[in-house]
Amino acid sequence: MPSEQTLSADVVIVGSGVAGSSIANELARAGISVIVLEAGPRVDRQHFVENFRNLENKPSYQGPFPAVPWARHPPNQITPNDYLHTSGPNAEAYQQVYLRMMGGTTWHWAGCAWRYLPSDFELKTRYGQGRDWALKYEDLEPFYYQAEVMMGVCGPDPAKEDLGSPRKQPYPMEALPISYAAQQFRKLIDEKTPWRVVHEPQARNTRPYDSRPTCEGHNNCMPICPIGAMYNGSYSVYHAEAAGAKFIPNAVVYKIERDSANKRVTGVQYYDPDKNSHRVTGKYFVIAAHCIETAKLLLVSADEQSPDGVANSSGHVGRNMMDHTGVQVTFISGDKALWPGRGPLETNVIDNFRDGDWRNERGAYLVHMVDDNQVDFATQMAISKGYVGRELEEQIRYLSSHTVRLFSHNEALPDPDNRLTLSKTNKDILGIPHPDVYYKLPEYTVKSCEHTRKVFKELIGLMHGTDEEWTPGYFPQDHPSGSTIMGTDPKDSVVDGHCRTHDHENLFIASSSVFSTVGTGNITLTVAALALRVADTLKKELLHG
Amino acid sequence: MADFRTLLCSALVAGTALAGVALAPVALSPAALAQSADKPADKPAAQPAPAQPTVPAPVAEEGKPAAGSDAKTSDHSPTSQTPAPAGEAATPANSQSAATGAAMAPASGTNAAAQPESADAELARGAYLATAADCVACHTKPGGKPFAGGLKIATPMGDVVATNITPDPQHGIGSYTEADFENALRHGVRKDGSYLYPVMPYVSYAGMTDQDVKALYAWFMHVVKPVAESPEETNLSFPASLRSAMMAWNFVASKETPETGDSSTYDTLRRGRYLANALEHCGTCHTPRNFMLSEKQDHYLAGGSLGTWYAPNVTSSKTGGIGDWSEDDLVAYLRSGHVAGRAQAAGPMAEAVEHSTSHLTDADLHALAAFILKVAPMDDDADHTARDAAGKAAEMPDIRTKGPQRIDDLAEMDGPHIYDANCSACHGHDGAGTKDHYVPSLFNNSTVGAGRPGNLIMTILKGVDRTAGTEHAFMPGFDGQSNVQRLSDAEIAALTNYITATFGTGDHQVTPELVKSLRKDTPVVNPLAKGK
Amino acid sequence: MKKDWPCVPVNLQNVSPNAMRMARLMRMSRRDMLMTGMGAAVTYGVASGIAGAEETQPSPASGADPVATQFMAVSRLLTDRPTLDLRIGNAIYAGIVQSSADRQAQISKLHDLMGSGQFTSASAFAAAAEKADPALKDVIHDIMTGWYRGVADGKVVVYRSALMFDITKDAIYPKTYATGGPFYWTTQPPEVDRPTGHPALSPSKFVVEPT
Repeated sequence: MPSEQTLSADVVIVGSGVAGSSIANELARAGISVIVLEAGPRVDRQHFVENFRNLENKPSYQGPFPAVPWARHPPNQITPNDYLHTSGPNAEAYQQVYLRMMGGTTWHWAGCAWRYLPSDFELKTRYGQGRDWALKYEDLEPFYYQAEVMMGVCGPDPAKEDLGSPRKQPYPMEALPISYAAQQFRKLIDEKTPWRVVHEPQARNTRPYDSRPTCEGHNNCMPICPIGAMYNGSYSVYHAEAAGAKFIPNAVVYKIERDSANKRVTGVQYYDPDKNSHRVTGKYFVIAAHCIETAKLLLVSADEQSPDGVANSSGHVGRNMMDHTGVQVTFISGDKALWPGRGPLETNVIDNFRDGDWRNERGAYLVHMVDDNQVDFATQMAISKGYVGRELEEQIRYLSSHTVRLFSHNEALPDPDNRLTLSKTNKDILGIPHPDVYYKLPEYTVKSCEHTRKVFKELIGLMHGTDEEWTPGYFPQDHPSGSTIMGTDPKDSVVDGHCRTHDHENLFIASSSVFSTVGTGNITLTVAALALRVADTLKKELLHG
Repeated sequence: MADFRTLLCSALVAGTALAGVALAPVALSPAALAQSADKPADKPAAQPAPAQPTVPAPVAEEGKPAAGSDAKTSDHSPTSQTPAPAGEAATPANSQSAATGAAMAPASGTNAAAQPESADAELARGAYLATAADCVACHTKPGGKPFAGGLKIATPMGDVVATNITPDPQHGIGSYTEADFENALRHGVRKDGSYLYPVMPYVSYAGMTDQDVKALYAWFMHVVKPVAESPEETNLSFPASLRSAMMAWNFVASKETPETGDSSTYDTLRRGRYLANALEHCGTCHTPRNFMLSEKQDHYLAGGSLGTWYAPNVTSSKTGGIGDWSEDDLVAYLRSGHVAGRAQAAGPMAEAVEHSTSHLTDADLHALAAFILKVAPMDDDADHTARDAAGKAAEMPDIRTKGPQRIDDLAEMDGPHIYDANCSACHGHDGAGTKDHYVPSLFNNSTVGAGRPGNLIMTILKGVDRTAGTEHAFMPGFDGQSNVQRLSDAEIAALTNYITATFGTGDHQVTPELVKSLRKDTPVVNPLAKGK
Repeated sequence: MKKDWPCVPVNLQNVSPNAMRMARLMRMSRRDMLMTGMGAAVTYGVASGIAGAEETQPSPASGADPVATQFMAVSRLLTDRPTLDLRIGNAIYAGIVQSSADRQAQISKLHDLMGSGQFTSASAFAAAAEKADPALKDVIHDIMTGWYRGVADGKVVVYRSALMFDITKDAIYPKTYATGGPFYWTTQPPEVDRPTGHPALSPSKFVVEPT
């Protein structure tokens, strides 16, 4: 197939996940022409629902999403990996998964929609650790709300349950009623500990919203909500398309072109699955391709003008990789039957460790009690113990109703040595290198995890738990961030406070890759808020110029 | 999205409140639902009612709800005659007496000339009448201001655009005298002398009493907020494009004869007939039309096509109509839009329930139901057994023969797999719906069991979005606008045939072409690979 | 716990004469048919038409795979259930036989052992089997995994119809098949007493599959 004529738009966006599609939607609604290039294919829900049911290893949330060869994503969280090659002392802790397809990785997330705390944006100033962001909480507050409305976030009334991130408006939807298991957990924490459990804000419908139904508790937010009660990026794709944005699937961008002064981006080039090359030009460009793929694309685009990669005069592209690397334990409660797995997956959090003076020496974290159906796990466990027949059925019921799982999101710090590079040995069928990541857990995070383990042990005791199984090592949380870090100084950061690259005035990045620190809450709402702020900047420049 | 409906409902709640009817807030509250479950949750129940951004409604403010209620409004007050709980069998006798006892208590003489009433009482009556006559359904476009018109109503001759009936003098009916108003309402003649298209059910409204016309006029003039905007003009094909041709139509079309006296004092059946014909204009949709598009009165409520949706036979036929329903069933249906094991309202009927019948008093609902259930039975061409009698729970193991497919595999699935992937999560693999009936069963379901598969296809395409009382029933659509899943014509045909074969009266051999003709929206945007 | 779990209901009235004939044909089909053809044949539509479902009277018709019939008998004993769904059983059997060359003979061996003594419970039988031949433990695991998890040969045979969901259905739904309605999860699920039974087989290492 010969290369078509060059496409052009006011704004060219690489990536159709929550960041790219929400920017496309905002711009298209303002009458600005938009082309979105998505490396992966168009997809639809019904095939994923069947894929999940046909999947033997149900907990594998990557399992229902076998990748296309021209836009591979990690097949699983196993090290060594076929795609994302991790190394270093904590290689397994950075074995992230994500999805390359229309709508992006929010096809499988648990819908947790946290705002960051004001302190998360100024860790250096307040605690002498890490970095400050080049923006403050107040700068992002209106966009947090815009993102909450776009996604449909439910959450508690701030007057009743203050989550520490000041709000100007209530949540778009009322908080989700919590499961019986969560009620019991909450009661225990209230009565027996100095801590508290809060309603987790979630991009999940507690009433019909955006032509999508109310959550019915299928307990399958990850890997696939079967009814669309939880937000994912595909809705923003649909809305953007309806508003006139053009989405091109199976368009694997491999090159970012600049002008002779290397100040402005002039176009991008992409391969189709047959490796025909196409060119798209525009006035502005946004890379919104997920933390790992965004850094990879900037590095792949290296040429004589920018031998270390595009937007990389600082040398920080691909560095400062962070996550919420955490701790996970599973045990059998000795108390009443809880039957976890009735209702959505993650609804309750102990938030006492999200902030405190101790952050000057160890990282913050939050604790999830996972409300995950344990029947399959219990069955495998009981069979392996040697039960059959009626005794097996007794065991399945008991283990299903008494298994408790806790995990934590522990804060990492930006360390330039934690670095994504291009694989020298592994390439995909288009010849584009796979990503390699070196990862060593910062001491700050290690200390945080030690604290978490003590807290978990205390909780296990309070629940008269037995048979504890600690997930070995550290547990990746798929919240990669930092690879195009934000800062005020072009010498040690890649983008400024508006997510504009220091090097190229018309190139923006909308991804968790711009995070200066990673806080504790799930990253998606902050990604969306930053993206909407990018859209706001672009609208101002394009419409009022 | 929800704003429009919530706004309308708030307006109507306000209107109904004038009639002395206490209604619960409209918004669905998870906490309330949780409380209705077997064991209330201690924590979530403690959650305060959400700060719903959509609650206040301009019309509600103007409505001055029920400040001075008088004897007349108490006529319409709900008493203890809430319908019998599901488990409690209602005999025709006691439901009849309940209905009779409710509304008409202080009625002295049924045909006595209407007594003049206070201004407040008249406005209250007008508000209730506007709700019962469901003016808002047509005279408000989605997202538009109440009664400002603009809704396009499909007819065989083209779209008729509803007009602005707010009291704005230029754009609305502000310059109408009461006589002008009456002439339009009951005779289909505008102030400028031109004839209205019979989409406006003036042949029904012709049956309204003088007193009620007066009250309705007063309410429109004093309570409805004027809106200074004109919807686009109706532009029909010849010969209907000639409004003068409507004069001839008007001449031959049969009309209701005006009722007399005080309509609030009628006995049950007379009140029921008045509600059905002069106000709710049931026949506008449910009575088939002749070649002149006039309602065939000898087929009263025997079912009529609305182009896409079909208003089914609701005569008392036990095979073709709803003769197997009890009065309480019908009251529950009109109030909530659903009766487990019988029917759920979608499409235009959902709107009628949402905007009108869910706001009627218990007494009026019983009167209406009692009257409808006495309508002469008419056999149906397509329905030969009661529509809600068909089907039973499906029991088959989900034997699986393939592993996960690559993400770009968008091949069309067959009926059983489309059902499994898109429907079973809510309706159950067995079709039984959810335990709480929030999602209805597909067997014993009038839409599935109907001889005409059109309404099932329309429901799959457009979904259900119906608010009645505190309940917001919602099913996503699966057409080309769906956020949840966009199904192709062939997939919807296969799915429809699977559903009717499994839970209804058999495979109706629906074709993709039929689905396409009903779809009437932009083509499927996603996925591109369908049907390759 | 309830003493006898209800079996998967079967509606015999549903069965057309043609479906009955089909079912007999299926029983008569050779093992190769079962192994290769079953998977494709027993999809929803066809499965719903297949008669019987419940195999109360194993019919050792000439030409049938006798081990398939034995598999059902062994399965009933190992699950302490008087009735099991034949459609599911056939699919599990096909998967297990596919997974290893020894499995068919081992199932036969289990069946022979079953005939050699009066076993009143799954546990007694399983313990005796492992004692007779430690290699039988693996095939018992396969049979348990097939019926309870709905998995054979590492593949999903049934998901929602797996017995693990039947025995927990008073409390919880299989993921993606939750039909309690919105917010059903706020209510209290049933209490479960601590089990008193003992394992019949020696324990195996429990390997959690990585995600």
